Amino acid sequence: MKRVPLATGAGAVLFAAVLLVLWQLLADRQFISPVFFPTPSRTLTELYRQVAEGTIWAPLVATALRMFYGWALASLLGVVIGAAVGSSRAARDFLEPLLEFMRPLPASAIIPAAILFLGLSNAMSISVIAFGAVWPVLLASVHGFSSVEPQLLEVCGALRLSRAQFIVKVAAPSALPDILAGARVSLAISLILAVVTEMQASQPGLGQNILLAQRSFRSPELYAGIVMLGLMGFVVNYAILKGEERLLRWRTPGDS
Amino acid sequence: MNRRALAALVPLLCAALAALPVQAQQPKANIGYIGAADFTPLFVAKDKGMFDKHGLDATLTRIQIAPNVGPAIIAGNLQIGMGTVPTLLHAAEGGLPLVAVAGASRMKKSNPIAGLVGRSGLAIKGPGDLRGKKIGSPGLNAMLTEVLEKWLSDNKVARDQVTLVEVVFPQQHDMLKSGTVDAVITIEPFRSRMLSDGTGFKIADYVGEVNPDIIAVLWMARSDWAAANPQAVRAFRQAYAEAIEWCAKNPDESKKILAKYIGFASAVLPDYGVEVKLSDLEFFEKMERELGKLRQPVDISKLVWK
Repeated sequence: MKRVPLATGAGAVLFAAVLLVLWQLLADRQFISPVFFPTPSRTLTELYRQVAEGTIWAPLVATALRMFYGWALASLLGVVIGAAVGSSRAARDFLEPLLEFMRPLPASAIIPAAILFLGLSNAMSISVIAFGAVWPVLLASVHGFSSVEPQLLEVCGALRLSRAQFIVKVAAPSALPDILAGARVSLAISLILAVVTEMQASQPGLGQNILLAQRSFRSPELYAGIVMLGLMGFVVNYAILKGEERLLRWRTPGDS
Repeated sequence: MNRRALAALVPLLCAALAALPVQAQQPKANIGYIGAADFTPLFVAKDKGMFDKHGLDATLTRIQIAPNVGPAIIAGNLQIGMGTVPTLLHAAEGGLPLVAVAGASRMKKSNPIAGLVGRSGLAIKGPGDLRGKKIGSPGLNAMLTEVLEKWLSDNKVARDQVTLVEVVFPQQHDMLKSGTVDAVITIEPFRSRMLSDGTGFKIADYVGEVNPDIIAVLWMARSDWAAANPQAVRAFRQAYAEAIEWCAKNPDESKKILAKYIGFASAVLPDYGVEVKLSDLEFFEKMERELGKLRQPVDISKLVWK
């Protein structure tokens, strides 16, 4: 990954600042009702209050953990099933039609069924997140495992590597860039679904806080929750980009 | 156009113009309700022509979930809509201009229509046994849930000792039966069904224990709309009061009209009342502050239309 030049970084911050000022001006002049659209200062004051009083941490941690567990499960399933499907023609023939049927199903549509099986629990929430977030990793894995370079296959044949050795030593490293790119998309989906399940199935977290704030007509609290979710998305995306950079260092030795 | 045609048109036009102001004088109101027995007089007033008699052109609109009613009134989709005192207090705290224009129903200890029902087989005898239990509530910040929190707090059960999850009334029976929740905050006619088929047992009619006579549901409007349309508000109140009297005299037919509008009948009906007392607001304001649900002081004297 290339470093962001200082000037570009400063430009991005400046652009965000201009948007904030515009938001403040629009809300100050009451172009939109301040009841529904509070000023950034009111929103940030509310966020500061929640941080200072410590009320933000429990829901933040709950949402982050839910997102993480769902994503981890999705990634594990995605890589395992993806490796099986991607490295075997027979598995591809058997499983692909079923996967293609399940892939377009909106994860939020399975929430009612998930509630029936698993109740209003964290397990239900994590299963729904995993179901929705598994597809990018799975498809990327299938692609990664099925498109190992022909020369590498020939070398494996010459070295008489077993199937397991082939997957671990050759196919997995070759598929890693695809898997990581899929995992990053999955993480964003996991955050979305963590919030959706909190709103639909009464799980404590930032999503539930936002819903309750809306119902109690507390718009600064509502926007503070949205800002917090945005920050969370930004931080985890940055973390996974850094992780990707580290894991794929072998590919581009001169650039890190 | 020839003269004869013109001569025929002029009186017609005059008649149409003369009719216009009469129609314009009849105030209109789109009224939002949810499917519950609390609104029987509303359906009666519409069905038996009481709104027409008092000169209100009323349209009834069913809203799926109660929290959407307030925003629909503010947005101007509804002129009058159902709500509770906590809704009014939260709206006032958030700066939304809502006022109560009439009462709808009351919860009385003598006629408990809401309560806490536990899953059969569980040993829950009182509030203390609810520690560690999962309770299904119709809405996490619904009035009935907040009164339950008050009841628990009065009985030394901390809020974090129970888990509250949202389960809408029609799903409560199945959720209780499947063991997804240990108890539910429920109302009639759902409560009778759970008790009669053995799915659940009565834990407590906790609302009556907290307050023997409080307002359950009321009617809200935007304060600027109510101020500009006093005639409409008056017509609504008069028609509603008449419908309440009619319901008292014709309970069986009232239940039929209720079933026609909401799709199910209720053997037990709540107490209806068009009055909103200041003491109702005082009770809830104190309770909300005690529970930490209200952060800013609210001037309750401005929340009832006069």
